[in-house]
Amino acid sequence: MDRIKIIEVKESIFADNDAEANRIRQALKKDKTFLMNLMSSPGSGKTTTLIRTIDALKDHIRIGVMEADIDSAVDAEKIAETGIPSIQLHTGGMCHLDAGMTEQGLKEIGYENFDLVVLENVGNLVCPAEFDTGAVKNVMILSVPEGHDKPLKYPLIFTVCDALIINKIDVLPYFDFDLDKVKEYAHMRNPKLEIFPISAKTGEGMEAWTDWLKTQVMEWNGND
Amino acid sequence: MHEMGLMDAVLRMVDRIRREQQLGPVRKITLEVGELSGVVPRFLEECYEAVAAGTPFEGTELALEIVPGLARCEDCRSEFRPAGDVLRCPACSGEKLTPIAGKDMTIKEIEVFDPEEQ
Ligand SMILES: Nc1nc2c(ncn2[C@@H]2O[C@H](COP(=O)(O)OP(=O)(O)OP(=O)(O)O)[C@@H](O)[C@H]2O)c(=O)[nH]1
Ligand SMILES: [Mg+2]
Ligand SMILES: [Zn+2]
Repeated sequence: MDRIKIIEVKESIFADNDAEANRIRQALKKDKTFLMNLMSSPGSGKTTTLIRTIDALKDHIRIGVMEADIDSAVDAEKIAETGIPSIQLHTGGMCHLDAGMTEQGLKEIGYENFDLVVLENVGNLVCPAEFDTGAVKNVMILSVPEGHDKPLKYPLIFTVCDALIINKIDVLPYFDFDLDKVKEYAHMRNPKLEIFPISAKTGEGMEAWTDWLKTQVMEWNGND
Repeated sequence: MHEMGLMDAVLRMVDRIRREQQLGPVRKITLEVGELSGVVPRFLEECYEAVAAGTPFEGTELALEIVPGLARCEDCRSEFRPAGDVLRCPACSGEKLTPIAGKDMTIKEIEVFDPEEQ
């Protein structure tokens, strides 16, 4: 007869991933590379914002991009036009990237050669928020047409993010979007959240955002 | 689907524990799923077979224990168990809610066949 033994575990299902993410951060620190994890819903303006951000910073810091979007062949071409190295990550059909997949990507792109590596995560607000990728900072883009109640509907992503970009503010007059409310709701979830209202189309607000990012990169890499 | 990624993380973690502790084959995995974890238990059950197929976990059993959710209203301080997608306090209709219990998903225990003779 087989005997059965019960092993008590009592650990979060994210425990192993979190440990690996911490190892990644240590390696990044040692090699002076800043990893930014960019999350949002599809169509919020990740690619447009990224291209403007690259244009503002590429003469000052060495930037690489890792894209996890499932159909981003088009996006990859647009990024390539900026002259910045980019690679495509393989999520194996998953709805998020975990620390293991991120680590593979970092090796493939040769992260030591960059000051800033941007990870464009899979486009949704639920799954990527749960898996720590090893990023130094998490950034979320919320666009005006998505509505101001997102922090109530998707609380987790607001608690794990360091910065919130509110994009497409050029269309504010056409939408029932309350900028003050979104700030209030988001700060309720995370009082330390930095909020940057921008228009990736007109360039409004971009400077505050890129200045913040540059400062974060410099501080982490130890050359401020 | 979201639940597939979570199950995948669970199986990899159990496999790591099994190797480290040199345990026999797994018979059953018990998870605690918080009501406010955002996870749909039925989806976890439905995708389990597919995620386990072709791995050492094929044919093993999954058991789920639901941990009740509890939220606090920051306006009137009342605590309540949220139902469905309600985003408002039942007492004052406040929208500033903080989850205080049932947020997590945990591997509670695993049941293995003990290879040792009695
Ligand atoms: N009005 C306005 N439109 C914008 C702005 N930023 C992006 N868009 C438009 O929004 C659409 C989506 O922008 P993308 O940059 O491709 O968004 P994305 O998040 O990369 O999209 P996916 O990769 O498909 O998820 C495009 O039509 C952009 O031109 C903005 O600030 N204002
Ligand atoms: Mg894109
Ligand atoms: Zn209340």
